Amino acid sequence: MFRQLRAHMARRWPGTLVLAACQRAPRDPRPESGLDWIRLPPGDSLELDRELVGFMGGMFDCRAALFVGAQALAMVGAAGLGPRIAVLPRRPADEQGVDHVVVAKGKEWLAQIDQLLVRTVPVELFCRPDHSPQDVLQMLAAHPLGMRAHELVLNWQGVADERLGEILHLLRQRTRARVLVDLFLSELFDVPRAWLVPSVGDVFLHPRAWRQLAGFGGLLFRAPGNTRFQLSSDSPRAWVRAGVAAFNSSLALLGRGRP
Amino acid sequence: MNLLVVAIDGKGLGHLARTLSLARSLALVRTDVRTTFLVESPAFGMVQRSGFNYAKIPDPRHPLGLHALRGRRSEFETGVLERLFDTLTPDAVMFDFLVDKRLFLSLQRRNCRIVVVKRKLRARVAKQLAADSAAALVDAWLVPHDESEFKQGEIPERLLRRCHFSGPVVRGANLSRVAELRARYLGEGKKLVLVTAGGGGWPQAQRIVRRAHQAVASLLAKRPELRAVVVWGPLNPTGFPPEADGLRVLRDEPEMPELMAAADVIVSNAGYNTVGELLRSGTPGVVVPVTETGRDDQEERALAAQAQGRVVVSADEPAQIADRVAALFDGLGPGKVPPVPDDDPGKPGRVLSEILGT
Repeated sequence: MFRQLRAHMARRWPGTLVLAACQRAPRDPRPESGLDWIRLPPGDSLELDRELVGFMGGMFDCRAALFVGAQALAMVGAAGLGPRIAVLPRRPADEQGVDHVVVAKGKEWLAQIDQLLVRTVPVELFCRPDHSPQDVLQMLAAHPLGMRAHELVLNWQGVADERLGEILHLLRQRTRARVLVDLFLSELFDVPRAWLVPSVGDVFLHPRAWRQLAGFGGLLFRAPGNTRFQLSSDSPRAWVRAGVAAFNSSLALLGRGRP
Repeated sequence: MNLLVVAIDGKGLGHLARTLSLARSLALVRTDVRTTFLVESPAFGMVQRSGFNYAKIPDPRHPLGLHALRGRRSEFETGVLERLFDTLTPDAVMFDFLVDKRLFLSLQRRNCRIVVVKRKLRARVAKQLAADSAAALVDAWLVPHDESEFKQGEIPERLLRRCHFSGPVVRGANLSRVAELRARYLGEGKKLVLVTAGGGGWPQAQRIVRRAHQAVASLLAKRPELRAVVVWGPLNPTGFPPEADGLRVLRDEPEMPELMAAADVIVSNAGYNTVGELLRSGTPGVVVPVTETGRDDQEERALAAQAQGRVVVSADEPAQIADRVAALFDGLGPGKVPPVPDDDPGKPGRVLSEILGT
C-alpha cells in the first residue's frame, strides 16, 4: 500500500514534498526526489512521536496527512497537520479523529486520494530568472491540477525583476489561482555573500542591491491583484529574522503579504 | 554515557561519513558510550548500515522543502533538536557542522558537553567563526587533522585553546573485499578508472563528475584495455547518462573505500573525505578541486595531496582530465602502491573519549 502510494505521489504530484514518518525505515533507503523521511528512535513514547510529527508537520506547512495502515492511526492525534486521511485495507470500526477514509482496494483508491489532496495542497513551482513565462506555464501544465490550480506558490530563486513581473501577469491571464511569491533574502540581491548570511556590508553598501530593491518595489506596485509576496531567510541571526518579519508585516499592511 | 551526533548533510556525505568514522573509532576504545545519530541527510542508509541507533528528521534543505522551510530552517533545527534532547537526555552532543547559539545555550542548561567537529576552514571563515558568539559556548573543537597541517596563527587564538587534534578521520578499505569489487567491475587483463565526487548533491560536484565522465568516455574510445566506473553520487538530483561499452554508471557504491583500492586510477574532487580515502587507497589519482568559494579550500587540499606525490591536480576541463589520466596509465606520474593500513584506528576515538570525559 505504502509503496504504491509513494510511487503514485512521485508520478502524479511532482513538486510536492512528501514526508514519510516511519518507525522502521526501509532497509536501504535511496534518496528520491519529492520524498523525505522521518524516523523516530525506536522505543520512545507515542506522545513524543505525536508531538514531533505535529511539530514537523507545522513547520513544513503540511497541507494534508495520510495515515497509511491501521498502526499509523495511532498518530492521528498529532497536531499541526492538514486534513487527516486514513488509507486502510478496510473501513475501520472507529473513524474518530479522521476526516476521510480511503479503502485501498481496486483501482480507484489512488484517484480518490488525488481528489482529496487537490482541495488542500497548493501547486508549487520553482522558478529562476532564466525561466521564460512559457517555461513556467509548461511547468504548471505538467502538474495534475495544471491550469485548474486554485493556489500557486511560486518559489522565486533570484532577483525580483521584470521577468518575475511578466510571469505573474501571464499566470493572472491563464489561471484563476491565487499566487504567493516566496522570495529568498540571499537570492533577492545578486551580490557576493558572506559566510552564513549576507551581511549588511555585503548587501546594503552595494549600489546594485539598492537598484534591485527599487526594482522589487516597482514590482510590488505593478503586480496583479491576485498576487501576494513573502520574504524568507535561513539566517540563524535574530536581527536578520526580525528584519524579515518586519518586512513581511509591512507587506501585509500594504495588502500584499501572505494571507 | 549518552552521546548524540548531529550530522548536517543534505548535499554531500562528508559530515555523515566523518562522524560515522569517529563513532566507530570511539566504539573501539569505549564500551560505555551509547551513540545515537540525528540525521537530516537523505543518505541516512549509511547510518542504518553501520548499526548505530538513529533518528531521521526531515531535511530542511530538501529542494522541495524550500517553500515551507527556507525561511524557518534555523527555527526548525533548534525546535526539533531540542525536543529530541528532551527525550534522549544526552550527556554530550557532537555537531558536524552546526553552530547555533540558541541550541548551545539550551544544551548548557542541560549540563551537556558541546563538541563541534571542525575541519580545516578558509582563514576568512575561521575568523568569522571565532567572532561568532555561539563559538564561545563550544566546550571542545575536534579537529580531524594533525596539528602540523596548520600554519602558526592559522587557527584564531580564541578557538585554538579548545581545539583537540585527532589526526585524519577517514574510512579505510576492508582489504578482504577489494578483490571482489575488482572482479565485479573489471574483466581480466583490464585497467579500471573510477570517477567519484562524494555525495554529488552540490552543483560544483555534479559539474566535476559530468566533465570527468566525458573525459573517461573519450579515453575509453582510444584505449580498449580500459574500463570505467562513474559514481554520480547518491544525492545527485540530476539524471545520469546511459552506460556505454566498458563504462558503468552508478548512483552509489556503499563500498567506496574498497572500490578505490580496487581501481587503477581515480578521478575525484578534493573533498576532505574523498581525498583522505584516495590517499589511503594506494591508488594514484587525478584530483579536480572545486575552485569556487566554500568553507574549506579544496585547491589547498588538492595541492597538499599532490605534494605528497600520490595525485596530480587538474582543472575541470575534460581534455585536461583525460590527459592526466592517460599520463598516469603511461607511467608518467605516481603509480599504484598497496593500500595504507590504519595503524591506529582507535586514535580519533581516544581524542573524542578524552573530550567526553567519564
